[in-house]
Amino acid sequence: MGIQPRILVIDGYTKAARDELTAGGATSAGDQYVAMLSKICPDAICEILYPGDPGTSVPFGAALSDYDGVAWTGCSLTVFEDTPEVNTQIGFARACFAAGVPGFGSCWAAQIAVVAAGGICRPNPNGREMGFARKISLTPEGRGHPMYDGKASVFNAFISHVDEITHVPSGSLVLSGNAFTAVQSVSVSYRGGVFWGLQYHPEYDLREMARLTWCRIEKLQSLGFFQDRQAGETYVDLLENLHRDPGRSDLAWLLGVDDDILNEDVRRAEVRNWIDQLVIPTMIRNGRGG
Amino acid sequence: MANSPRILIAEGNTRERNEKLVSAGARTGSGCYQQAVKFLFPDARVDILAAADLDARMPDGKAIADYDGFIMGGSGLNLPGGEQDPHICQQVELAKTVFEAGVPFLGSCWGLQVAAAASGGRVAVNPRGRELGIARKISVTPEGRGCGLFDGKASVFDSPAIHFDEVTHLPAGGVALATNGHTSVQAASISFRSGTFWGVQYHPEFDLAHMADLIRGYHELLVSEGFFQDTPAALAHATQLDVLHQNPDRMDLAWLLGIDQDVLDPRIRYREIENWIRRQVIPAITLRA
Repeated sequence: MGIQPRILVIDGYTKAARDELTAGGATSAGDQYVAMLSKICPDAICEILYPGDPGTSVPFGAALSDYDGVAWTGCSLTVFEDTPEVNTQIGFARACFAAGVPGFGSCWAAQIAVVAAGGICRPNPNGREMGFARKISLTPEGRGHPMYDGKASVFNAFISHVDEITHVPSGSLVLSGNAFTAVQSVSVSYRGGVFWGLQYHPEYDLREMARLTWCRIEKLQSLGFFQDRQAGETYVDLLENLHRDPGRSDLAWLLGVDDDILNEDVRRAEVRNWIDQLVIPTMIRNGRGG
Repeated sequence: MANSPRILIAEGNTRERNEKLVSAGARTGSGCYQQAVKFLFPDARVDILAAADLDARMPDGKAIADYDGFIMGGSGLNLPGGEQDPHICQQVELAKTVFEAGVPFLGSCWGLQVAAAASGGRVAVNPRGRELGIARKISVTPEGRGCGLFDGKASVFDSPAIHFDEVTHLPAGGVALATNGHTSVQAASISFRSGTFWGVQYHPEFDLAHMADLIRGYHELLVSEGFFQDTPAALAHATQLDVLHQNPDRMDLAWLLGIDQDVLDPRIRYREIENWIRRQVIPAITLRA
């Protein structure tokens, strides 16, 4: 029997938003996260919670110590909107910090962690960053941070966001940034807990990015990413063709993507480091070390 | 004007190769450099030396020391295996002369490789193959960050590139200033004899239109190397680059191709050339006066 950390996955999408994505051929964010965690840690026990669904109760206090890690997916909500869906998740993030359960997450998740700990997020004045976040550069703090063990100092990653972290709370470290988004990753320490958050998406692959793009073609067209629907469809095909045939170096070259995007081990180094360096030590501390 | 820099640009390609390029509507490499220098310093006085041609003559009988700066750009020639090629040997000798004269020396691509070879470094075929189009995620080293070459430039940037060989060993007196995943020496400075060389493996002097011309010119080779599935794909990509060059506000194309202001804005792309003139060439004029 392998190592069996218990990981709670928080998929903050509403049911309607999840259905829209799956109807377009995309995998729901929670399922993508479980697939990623299970690939890195095959015996991990993952459970998905949908706090955006009416009637879902989130664990608090002692119930949280049943978990060795909480992994948060992205979400189509807006973190600085004062709505019950958002506030529930901010409250839950605070509870996770207080319980000392290590947190990890992409995009919205990094924003939630920052806001829960007293930081600020706002719409990115550069607009939507979509597809590939390019030239993400580790800060000196990032280079020395365990989340980036084995990762290059400059890399590209999958991305899709319009909001960004503008102010990190005290006790947090900015680990990376690029010209589009000053904070591409953070380590947030708050009330005794730690959360590693990425503005980008290690859980995506080219196929998921293709399906997400397909679901959003009209919006992306209105934002100027595509001149017309046909250009959007062509782009989706390009990503899917490269996904099906990773040997198509001509397509990778055209898109300007390399192993940062195409090699799962490179792309997900942050997740593996989180499991190795925070989740497993927590599991052992919880007396579940086998 | 007395203080306008006098710059000699060495054309690294032979007359025969340039005639092919020009007849296909492309500029020469030295022509691209001349355009960059004139964009940055309209008063600069620029001469071109046909450095690859065996009958090359210095313009108007001038000497290297009559110039405030010397630039050697790209070439289709290859140092590895070309040790006996007179078109190559005379350029390596020319680089030694420039170092000895102490004239500020700037190079791109072939120019970097020749300067490295002339000063005791080594050049070999890049085991990762050709770097084509955009050299991505070029990272300035701490030494580069402290060198004037990258004043005002981001610590990570993209730039046009096309090369097959790379500098594998810098000579003593050489410092690596930038690197990326494809090519470990993307920029270097070399102090040798009386001279100082600053150079880059990429081509800040190229714009997307020139890259499009090169792709059209070398499409068969590039198809054989796997950059394109076939000739129509190569020509279609060249057209995309031309369209983006003419319409730099086509954010859909820029986004698709992963090309940003590092490449599209000449004031950013030319920054290393501008810094070299400001920090090496102009002080040399002042010292001489």
